[in-house]
Amino acid sequence: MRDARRHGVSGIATAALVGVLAAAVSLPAVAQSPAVGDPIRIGASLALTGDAAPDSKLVRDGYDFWAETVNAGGGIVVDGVARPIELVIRDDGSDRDQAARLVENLIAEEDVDFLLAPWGSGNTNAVAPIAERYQKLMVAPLAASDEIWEQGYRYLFGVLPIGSTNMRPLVPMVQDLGLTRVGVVTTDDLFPLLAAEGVSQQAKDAGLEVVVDEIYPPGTIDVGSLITRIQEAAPEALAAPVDVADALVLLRQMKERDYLPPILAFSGATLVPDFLSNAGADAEGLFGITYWSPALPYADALFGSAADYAAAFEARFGYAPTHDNVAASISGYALQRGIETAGSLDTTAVRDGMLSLDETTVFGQMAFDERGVNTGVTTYVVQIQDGTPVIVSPADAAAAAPLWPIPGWSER
Amino acid sequence: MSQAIVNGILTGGLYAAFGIGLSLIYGVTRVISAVHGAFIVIGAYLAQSAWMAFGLDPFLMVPVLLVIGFGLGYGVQRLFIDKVMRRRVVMTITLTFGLDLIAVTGILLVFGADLRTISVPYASVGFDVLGARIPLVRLGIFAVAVILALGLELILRRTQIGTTIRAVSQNRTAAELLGIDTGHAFGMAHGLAAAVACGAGALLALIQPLQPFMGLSVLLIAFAVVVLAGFGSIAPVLISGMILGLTENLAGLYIGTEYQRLAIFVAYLAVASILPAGLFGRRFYAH
Amino acid sequence: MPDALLDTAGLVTGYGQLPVLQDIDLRIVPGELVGLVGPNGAGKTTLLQAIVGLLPAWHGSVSFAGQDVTRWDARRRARAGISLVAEGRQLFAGLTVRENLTLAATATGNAVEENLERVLALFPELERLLGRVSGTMSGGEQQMCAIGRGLMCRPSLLMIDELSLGLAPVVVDRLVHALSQIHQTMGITIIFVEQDVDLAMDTADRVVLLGMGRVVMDAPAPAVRARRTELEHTFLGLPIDGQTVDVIAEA
Repeated sequence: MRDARRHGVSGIATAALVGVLAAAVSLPAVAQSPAVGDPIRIGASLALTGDAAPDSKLVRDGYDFWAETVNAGGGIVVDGVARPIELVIRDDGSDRDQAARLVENLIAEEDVDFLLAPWGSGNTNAVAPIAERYQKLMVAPLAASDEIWEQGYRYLFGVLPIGSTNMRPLVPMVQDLGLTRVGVVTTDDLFPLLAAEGVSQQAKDAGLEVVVDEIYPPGTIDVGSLITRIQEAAPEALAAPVDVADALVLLRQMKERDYLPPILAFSGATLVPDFLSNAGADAEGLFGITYWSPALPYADALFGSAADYAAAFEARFGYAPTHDNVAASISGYALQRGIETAGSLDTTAVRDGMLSLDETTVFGQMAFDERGVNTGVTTYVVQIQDGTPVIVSPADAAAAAPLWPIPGWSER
Repeated sequence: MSQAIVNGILTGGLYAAFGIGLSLIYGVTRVISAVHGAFIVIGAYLAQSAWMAFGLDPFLMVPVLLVIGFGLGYGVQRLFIDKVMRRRVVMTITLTFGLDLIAVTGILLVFGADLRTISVPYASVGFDVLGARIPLVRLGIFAVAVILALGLELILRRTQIGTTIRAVSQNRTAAELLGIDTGHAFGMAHGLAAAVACGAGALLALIQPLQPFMGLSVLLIAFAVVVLAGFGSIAPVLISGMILGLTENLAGLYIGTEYQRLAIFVAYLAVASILPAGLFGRRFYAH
Repeated sequence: MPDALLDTAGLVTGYGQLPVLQDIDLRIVPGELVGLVGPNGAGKTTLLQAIVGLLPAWHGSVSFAGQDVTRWDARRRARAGISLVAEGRQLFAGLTVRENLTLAATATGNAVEENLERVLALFPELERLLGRVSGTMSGGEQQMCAIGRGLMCRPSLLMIDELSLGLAPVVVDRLVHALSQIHQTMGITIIFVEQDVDLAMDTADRVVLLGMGRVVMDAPAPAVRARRTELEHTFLGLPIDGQTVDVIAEA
């Protein structure tokens, strides 16, 4: 029916005819309840190709898993009608301008009802103004940059806590271990810079000495001079909130130099399957940051427990989910809960519905403040121990104690 | 300091290997080839695939890649570039960019967008000289890159086909009057250039995770090397590569890591505007 | 009459839209030494380029050694035995004399050593210059190298554009002597373009005069010498009495 609006009178006539035929054909199914309605169309521009593709794949799988889970149960019930989810995903090739064009197209031409955001702060920042202009609700799984949430966007929600808090839990852990010298290195990109600033500030506030604090261009082939600087400063713990590719380069070249700080923590990269498969045994002992683990006692009505989510997800996609996957699924689920609360697809009603939420999901607590930021999430430090990520901090959730120093290259 | 110099020189050898083919192609065909980065990336992916499938060491894969790269370069020249070579620069750049896009799409279809790396067992082996760490892998990369460069130089200077390529680059009409198959000579030149690029790809795969779109940043480095060296000359390309490697590393150490890539392009722009013929101001076999 | 080595019939060609040669019929038999003269812009270089295959024929045909070569490219004609020493020498300036010479033999599938000996016997001066980068030599040395390179292709027809242009008299004498050696000892048919009409008449057996893209006069050298006035008229752009002179040697 949607098409009829664009195709004039003959289009309407054709559509009406098709509608009558369709109704006739589907008559036997009418008896079931609730009635099956038109799909709810949800658009997203994702980097299926290009630099951001490895990270974006996690988001896509997360979205798909949510939509498939909802559809397996018949859909979202709105006004007594079960409406399945139809994801409309376009590839922006890791090009932010292209992402903005695609989102505009999704809204204006493809008539989507809601939007889900691309991977990452920078990309989300690029498309948020479009959603705002057209007053379309958009939920962002991984837009943690602080400044996005200071822009006053009314129609943007994010399921992650803000980025500057990302690596902060590292500081109390380092303190508990009795260490005093920390270092922070990161790439010149939105989220990495924020996370680096946040952890650096937190360390200083806690009385730790920040002995190296470096920024370098993302995608640098030769990080030799950076490693020299780190080596000379000799931090006891090094935080490096860089993306997967940059993390691999840094780790690789540290290995070439036969150097490893006693504690090395990437942010989310440590847990990304692409990182783990490429780093192999070299990932052993690395620290990382996560908002989620299948071992946590979280649960909701759609996915069951965190462990259930992990098992079903792995069965579907062939790899264990990370918090990126779950954040993506939960973005869809947040939208779903907003719609269910509102009982309609009206943007304002759904927005109010989302703002009123305060409940537990497989991702932990979910409650949005006026900025649209989820304030319920807890951040954990994990470490790869015997090839498996385990939570090592904060202590009350820890499954194991942090092991340090990480064994040197020659000891493996 | 000594570490930065070691890094700079070792990485510079690889940068030179990126640039050498580009320099040869321009020197001989006057075509600025935007598809050159794709040859490097294809080499890198093939080396990574051979590593994954057969555990073949990337260094051992280099000879195979030389053959494959040669075929690719020869084919690209004869099938596509030949047709537009005498046209305007805009045409040749558009064509080679188009070919690059096709190559990238092909890589994406064949290999997917996932990151790929090679982790050789001797990745952490190295030795210390005068307080600087020399990783074995880097030394090997440097050595192979230099051998590739010198090998190309030797072929151009000492062989029949090398003489023919230089002749054709200097005077195409005269070459045709002598019965030289200029199309074949251009193909050979592009083949040799692509062979070195493909071989250098295996070296790149040893130090960087592979992504289908990495060709552009590699191409930019190749351009910087060649502009510094002057188009169409070979030995200076080696020196230029090392100058860039040193610039990058010393800038990273003394100015700040955030400026190291910028330093490369500042050097590039400075040379391009002050010394348009390159740092060395002469050409070995071009006009 | 012996079979022609080169035969152009109704040959028309030019650059872009502009025709330069109009209806050229030129028949050359083996063993001739032909001087091609004419004012600037008459089409001498154009004619050589059309014969050698650098310019396609718009109309008419070019036959060489009994074969129609009209559709052949320059490369194929070179291998068939047509060699052009082009205007400005066109050496590979960055290559050595030896490389220039060697390349010509290998590119046309001829033996290097034998032909190199032949060329060095003709131009012993080149012997000590073999290692020199050709672009650094004097004009005379370059011309010798260029003619030598032409000979390395083992041609049956050698064409030289602007034999003496810009060269000192003593060098020109040297080249003229070499030309007659090539003609007599090696038995190679020669067409040379020459600005100096007297030099052409003294050197050649037969002189072909081009004017405005047409053959204006074609006669044995002595006959042309007798009609020198008409030649001057042509060079000055004055009309010649009566019809186009078309005197084919009775000999």
